[in-house]
Amino acid sequence: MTKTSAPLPEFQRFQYAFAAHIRDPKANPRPHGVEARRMKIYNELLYNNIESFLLACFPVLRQVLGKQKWARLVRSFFSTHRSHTPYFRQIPDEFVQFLQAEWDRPEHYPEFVLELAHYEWIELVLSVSNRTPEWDKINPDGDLLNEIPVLNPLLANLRYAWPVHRIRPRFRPSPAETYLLVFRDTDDQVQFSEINAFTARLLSLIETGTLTGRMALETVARESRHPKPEIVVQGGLAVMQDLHAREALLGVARQ
Amino acid sequence: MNPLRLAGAGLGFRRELIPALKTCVPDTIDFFEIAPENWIELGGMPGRDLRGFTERHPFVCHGLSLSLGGPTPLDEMLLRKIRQFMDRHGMALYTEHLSYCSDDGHLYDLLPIPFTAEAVKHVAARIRRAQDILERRIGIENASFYTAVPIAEMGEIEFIRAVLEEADCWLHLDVNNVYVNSVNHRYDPVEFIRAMPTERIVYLHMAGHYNEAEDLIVDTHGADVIDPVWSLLDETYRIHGVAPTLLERDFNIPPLGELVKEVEHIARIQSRHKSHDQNLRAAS
Repeated sequence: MTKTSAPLPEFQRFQYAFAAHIRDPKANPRPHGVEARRMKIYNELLYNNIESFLLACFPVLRQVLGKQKWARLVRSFFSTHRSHTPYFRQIPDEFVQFLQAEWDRPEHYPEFVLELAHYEWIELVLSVSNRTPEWDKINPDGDLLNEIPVLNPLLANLRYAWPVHRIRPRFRPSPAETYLLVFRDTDDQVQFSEINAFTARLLSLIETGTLTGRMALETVARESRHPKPEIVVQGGLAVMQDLHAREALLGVARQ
Repeated sequence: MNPLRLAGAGLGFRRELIPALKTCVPDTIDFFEIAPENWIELGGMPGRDLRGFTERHPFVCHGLSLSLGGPTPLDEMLLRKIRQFMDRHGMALYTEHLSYCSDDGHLYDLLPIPFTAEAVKHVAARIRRAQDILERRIGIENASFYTAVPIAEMGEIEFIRAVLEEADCWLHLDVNNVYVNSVNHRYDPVEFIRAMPTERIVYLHMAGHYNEAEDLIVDTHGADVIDPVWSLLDETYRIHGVAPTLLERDFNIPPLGELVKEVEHIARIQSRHKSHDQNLRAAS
């Protein structure tokens, strides 16, 4: 609500009442003097519009929840969350924020709702992002071990408590620590793959942008108390070469 | 050609149409229009493609989220982004709806401003502020609406005219919206068109809609333009002269070839009338 202490002008009080009814018709009465049939047009147009943006981003969540739970969740978002982005493609960002900060999960909703939504949202975030690699600072053919590897800037190194990538309407997995790598390649395709804790840690060390490949891998070996660090380094080099071939790593920093 | 470097018939630019447009932009299409909210800071292929089109064709910027009639402070950050975006792509004309799309948060669709004197002042002040930030005069579109508001103190015509005067802005006249509202609120669409100030009209919209009931039409932009709206466009040109006119299509988008037939239809009607600019010169 506005912070002014003076009462709102009448037309603005009407606007708030009109919008409140659209957001939650059960909780807020239809403004006096507005025909029910005409009000319903607005109720449906606005709800369907919001829902269509969410459906486009969260198809698996919609399927897993089923019609009724999905509809209640969308209504809850529309009635309680206040979206501040003017950009339509960021409506899913607002939805994820809502799930994170404002939504009290009813017991009959799966525990993984937030994680599944987050995972589906990441694909959208990466596909529309306008970040581009600074190619003038990257040597694509450099030595991954002895120079500083550079990550694709359109990349998410994700850890979830659920195997969110395997959730389907008829497959509800048990919780399991899950590492997923998602990135947009140079053909603008978003790639997904499951990685292990070792690769996830390696990627987070490379992300600092200060370590050579060897330094990062020696850190991983030390942290895991591996008896033969050189095995970790050689195994890690193969991993980095594979990531480079798939464009998750773009090369090394130019000196 | 008017000072906005715009003339003729245009088509709404949508991602779905990019592959066909990359092959060939039909000669009938004199300009395109886009919603800045869908393209500002958009990356990936569509973001890169846009530049190729704005370099070769005039574009109009038609806003959706500014909420000129909204109750919370004007989104000046958005306006600054729009300005940068228009500068980057060399766009001259910006228009927005005479409407609101937010309470204390965005609602992402257009709602009817109550037609009151206080609302005129409020909206006009926000339009002036937008014009200051964009450093240009902007156009305001008459919006379609589905319910009268009981606290209204004036009619739609009076409200629009008062806002245009007080804000000293242009009118972006949506011919389909006039038709939709004339059915929904039972008035004569030609009388409405006639009551609009010729000297402020810079731009027109044409679109299709959806019939909910005999007395209730929803402005979906999801169907072909119907004959009564074509006739109304003809009347509009007869009364006010020809202005650049855009075909909007946002849902059930047919292949480019089908849309181009409607753009050609606009161009054919335009060729039968003398230009708005000539009318203006004759009047001055």
